Formats: sequence, C-alpha cells, structure tokens
Amino acid sequence: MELKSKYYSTLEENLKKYDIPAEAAEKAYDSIQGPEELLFSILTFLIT
Amino acid sequence: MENNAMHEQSKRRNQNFVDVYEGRIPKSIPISIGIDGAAALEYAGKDLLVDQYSAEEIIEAMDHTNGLFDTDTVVGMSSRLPSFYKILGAVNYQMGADGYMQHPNVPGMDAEDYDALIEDPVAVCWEKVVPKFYKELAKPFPHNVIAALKFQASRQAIMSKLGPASREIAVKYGKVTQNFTGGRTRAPYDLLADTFRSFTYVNGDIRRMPEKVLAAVEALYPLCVKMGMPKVPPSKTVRVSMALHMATFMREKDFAKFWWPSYKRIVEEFVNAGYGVFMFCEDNWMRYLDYLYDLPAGCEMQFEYGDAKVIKEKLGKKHIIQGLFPSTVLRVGTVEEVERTAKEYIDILAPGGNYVFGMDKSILRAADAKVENVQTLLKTVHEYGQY
Repeated sequence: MELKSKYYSTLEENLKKYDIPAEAAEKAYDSIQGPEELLFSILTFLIT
Repeated sequence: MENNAMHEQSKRRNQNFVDVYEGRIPKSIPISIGIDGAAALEYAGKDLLVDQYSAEEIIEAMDHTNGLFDTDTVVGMSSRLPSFYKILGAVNYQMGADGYMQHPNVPGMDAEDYDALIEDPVAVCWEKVVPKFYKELAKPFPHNVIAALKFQASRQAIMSKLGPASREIAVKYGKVTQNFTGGRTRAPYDLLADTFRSFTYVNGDIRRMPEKVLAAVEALYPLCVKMGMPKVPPSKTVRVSMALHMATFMREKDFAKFWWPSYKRIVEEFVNAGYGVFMFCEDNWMRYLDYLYDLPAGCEMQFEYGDAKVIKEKLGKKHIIQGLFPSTVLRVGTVEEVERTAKEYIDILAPGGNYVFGMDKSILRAADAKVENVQTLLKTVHEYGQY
C-alpha cells in the first residue's frame, strides 16, 4: 500500500517534477529521493 | 577484559538474541532493559538542566552507565533532547523544573479536521499538527524555515556524535553490536489518539463520529506502514518496534472494532515482508491475550503488568515473552529481594525458550533504581539464566 500525499512524492513523481530523464532514476535516487525520505523521517520525529 | 574477550562476549550476546528471534533456545537468556538518557546522566553525576545540551556530556554519561551496568545492549541513549524542542518552541515536549523532558497530551487537530485527515494525513501533519506542536514553525516565512533549519542542524550536530559513540561503547564493553531494531511505528489507532486527537478527545470521537474514526484509522494505515518499514534486507532478527498505548483504556467492544483490526493487519504486513515485530504492551493486557495469540508466530511482546504464568502458558509457545520484572523492586527492594524476584520470573518464563529478560518499564531516572540493585539483577540473570 503506497503512501499518497501532496507533501510526499515518489521517485517517479520527483523525476517528472524536476524534469530529470527517467534513465537517470538510479543515479538520482540518493540526491533526489533521499531528501524526500529524510523529510518524511523528520516529519515522523516531529509528530510522535 | 581484553579486546578479544570483549569481541567474543559481543558475539555471544548477539547470538543469544539471534537464536531467540530465529526460534532456537539460546545458550543464555538475552537481556533487554531500557535505561533512559536522563537516568544515565544522573548515574554519571551530571546535571540534567545543563549537561543534556552537550553531546560530549551525554557520551560521557553513556560510557559511565554502560560500564556501571553489565547490560547486554547499550543503554542511556536518548533522541528526545531539549535543544531540538527549545529551537522549535515545542508545546508537545517541555522541560520540567528539574530538566526532565515531559510529553503533555496535546491534540494535533480539531474534530472538524477529520475529513482532511481522511483525505491526506501527511498534509494534515504539515498544515495542522506541526504548527500546533511547534510555535516557531507556525510563524510566517522566513521565521519558520529558519527555525526548521536550526532544528535540523542541532539534531545533526548531536546525533552524528551519539550514533558512532554508541557503537564504540558496545565494542568497548562487549555488548550487543548487531542492530535488531529496523524501524519504529505506531498502531494506526494509537497514532490517531496520540498525535491527532489526544488521549482525552479520541474516546469521545468514537461515540460521536464512529465512521470518521474508522476512516481515519484506515487513512493512517499506509503512513504507519511507511514509518515502520525497515530499509535493510528482510530478516526475523530485524524488528519493527511499536509501543501500544490505547488498547487497555478501551472497552473490549470498542477495542475489537476500532483498535485491533488495523493493528493485526500492520503486524501481518511487517511479518509478510520478512521482518519480526516487537511490541510493548503497555499497562495490563490480560483480557486481550487471545487476540495477541492470533498474531503471526514469533512476535516479541514486552508486558508491563499481568500474570506471568498465564502469559507464558497462553502465549509462550508461539510468541517471545519479554518484560514483567517489576522495576519497583529496583527502587525499594534489597539486593536479596532483587535476586529472588529475578529467579522467580526466570523460573516461570524461561523454560522452553521464547524469552528475553526484560522489565515492566524502562529506568527513566536514577532514583527509579538503586545502582547495587541493577547490578545484582544483571548478575543474577547472567548467572541463573543459562540454558
């Protein structure tokens, strides 16, 4: 079950949002999706 | 002890946990007791009001406390430090007069916000909960962004020192070096209660708007899964940890309808993904033991109160039992009482395996447990807890 929110984007959504070619998905994971996941982790710290 | 001996001791201690988690009887009973960062600072003779702002002081206190107590796992680590919450202007974590961090019961949203929560729980967290919990983050741009950046910088500055220090302490004192906790999350209903509606209001909500409560629990489910799902390869030794809060304060009829179904499902979700589950069954779960039995085999269940014999008899063949040793004995008892009580619990809970020695609750302050009593407890379990 995937988490859906206007404040959380998957890698695929982020590639589209930042206009990054799909072929770069693997290389861009840490620099693009990493901050998304870190932000989610910060949110869980803040709300619990 | 020399480095080699410490290394061997760490390996033995790691293996005892691995054996229990993989369904084997270990050589000796693994010990899992919690000692909070505040207690560690106090055991080290430090001043909570002053020293918990410094990573170096915290590390010194952790080193002292881990040397003082021959626990299997590293103790004295805290991630809820006051500098973070002061920077954020927190109302949900506040410092008491003696420096101890308190967690008041604050509702993160109003009853009118249920529809928004059902639609997008993460959005409600950012738009409603976070500004309610943190005054600095409720301020207009750029003040809120500056506070958020300062908070993250403070957290990074302290936690980037505590993590490596904890690993060094584990090696130095021959403690467990394997990480058995892969993630932490909440039961969906508990998250609704703790974060969004508070303990006080959620019980009224299930009378006034039961359908919305059920829909909210359902909406929170994917959030809880994501919060807890480990990022390491699946293994029964990697546990997803959940402290269970609300269940025992509900009527069984409400528990069965509002609390249990999503909880059972989330446990199954983690187990089906290949991980183990740890749950702290806060308060007294005796009336819910049949429910717990139904969870997938191998769940680790720490109990606060209850009849150890009945718990062992009903759950001990299917699940891993932890906890129950009454921490009050450490505060008010003699060393003889500590030794006798520890042996009584081991005699009941250890036969056949599926047991991790633990207490009913963590030691939060040094005044909760006399040093000689904790030392006696650990010595007793190490010596008497051999299979």
